[in-house]
Amino acid sequence: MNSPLLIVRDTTVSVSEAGKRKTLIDKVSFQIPALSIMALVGESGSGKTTTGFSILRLLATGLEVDSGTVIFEGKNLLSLSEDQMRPIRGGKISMVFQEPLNAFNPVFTIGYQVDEVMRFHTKLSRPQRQERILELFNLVGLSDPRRMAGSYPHQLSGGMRQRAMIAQAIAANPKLIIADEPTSNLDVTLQARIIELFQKLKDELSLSILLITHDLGMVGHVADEMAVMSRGKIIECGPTKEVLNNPREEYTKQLMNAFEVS
Amino acid sequence: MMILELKNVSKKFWTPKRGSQNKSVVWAVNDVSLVIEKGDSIGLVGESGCGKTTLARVILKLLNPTAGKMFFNGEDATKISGERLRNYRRNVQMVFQDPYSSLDPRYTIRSIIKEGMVLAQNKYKTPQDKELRIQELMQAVHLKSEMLNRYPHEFSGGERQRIAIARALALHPRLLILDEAVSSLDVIIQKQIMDLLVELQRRFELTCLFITHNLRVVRKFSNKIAVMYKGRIVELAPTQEIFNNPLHPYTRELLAAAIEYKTAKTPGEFEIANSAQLIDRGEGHYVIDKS
Repeated sequence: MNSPLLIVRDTTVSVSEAGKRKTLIDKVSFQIPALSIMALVGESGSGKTTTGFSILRLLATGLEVDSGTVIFEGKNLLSLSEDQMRPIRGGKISMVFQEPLNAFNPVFTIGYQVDEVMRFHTKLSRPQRQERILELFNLVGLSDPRRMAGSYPHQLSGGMRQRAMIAQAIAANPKLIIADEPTSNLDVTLQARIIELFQKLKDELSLSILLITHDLGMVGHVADEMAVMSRGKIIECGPTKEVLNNPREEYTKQLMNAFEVS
Repeated sequence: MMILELKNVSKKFWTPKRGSQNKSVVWAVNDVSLVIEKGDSIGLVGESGCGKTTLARVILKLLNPTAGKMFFNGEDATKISGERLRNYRRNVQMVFQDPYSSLDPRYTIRSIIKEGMVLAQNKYKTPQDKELRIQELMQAVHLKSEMLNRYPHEFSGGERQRIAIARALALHPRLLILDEAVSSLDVIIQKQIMDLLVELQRRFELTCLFITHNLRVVRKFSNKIAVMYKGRIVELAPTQEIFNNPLHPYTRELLAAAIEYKTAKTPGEFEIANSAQLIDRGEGHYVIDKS
């Protein structure tokens, strides 16, 4: 068994509502093993995205981490200063968002925005970075990388934008990618391609992926480990095969059932 | 009984070419023939950009076909206007993909459902009749009638889609078109809405055209599936046939993606000749020929 890359322990996040604290995620604990794909599953509103965001401390204003630790490379991410956090965010741990059109800045080219990540997180020279952008675009399966680099986000199709965002996410050689519903807006054939891309990247770049999704079918096909969330709590977790073949919780069965019949 | 028949329907668009004055032609829908019988629920499946929504817009008469003919209840509906068009639209209703933008934020749920009845003025004449019908619809989609005075923003995505369905059913349409009606919902809600549709279909003997990119979604709902690719229907067969015996390579690719999350062994581009025709392979299974 690999030693864990990231350990989330007893993390609680709450929001202030009319003077009272309302708990959004409640003592969530899980580990992401190195070199694996871990899935965080649940319906909308179950707290899976909040959990993902709290790892990188990207929570919306008003949401606060009340207690718990997130251990990554021996450091507790929740107690680092913003300055210490910066090289980790986008460098060691990067993020792929659900809606790629909103995740890119509309007024800069895709190439510029991928370059920005490397300018900040790596020591590569400008020509090296230019070279690497083309390499990255090839790796994620964007044809005609040179033209792609000069394009603006709105000129790309949904699938291409998602690939471009993945290129941006791997630009600084991260150890972990947090992918929040990365395929929910894509049609099924594109979903399959993006999923295959994730598997390829995991092997070729030796990284781990935290996949946040409600799509159990996808989880069954790609994830090594999974955790099921409901109402802010992790109710079941373990190796994917074990959980899906032998679900203990009623809610997990319900999720699986919804998936089969719909 | 035949509800709708499309005969060689095509729709073309002009798109500006990058860096040139010339425009290029896109045949969004190309020579599509399809028969929808009463009680059918046809799944129209294909990837984004294959022309399935354009076809829906042609059927709704939001777009005029470039070529081909449409028959509704045996009458030519290719070029109709005035009262006949209004009557046609009463009979063909739509549920849209995004329940957040398809309901007017300034209308209460009651006004949203009532609007069609007010405009049509044919069946529900008195306010009491209208109110009764609204209550009936709310009950059919399993929403409480107390919700009628609320506004769309107060509802979740699944509830909004129920409202959209109630609105579409208000005037007893002969044909209901659902364009990616569950794609923006999460799996549990997807199942609830699909269960509701199956129930409504049995209860009101609806005739439906369900447009989606995901074969899995229509597996239990549709009796027939039409697979669309690059503006053409490449395969048409009873649902079980499509799942058990897919003949066109593109259908296999869609199945692999929807069921196994894999790209098929021969992924990618398929050539379809302009002259290609759907060939009958028996048991109501049609597939486009290779030539």
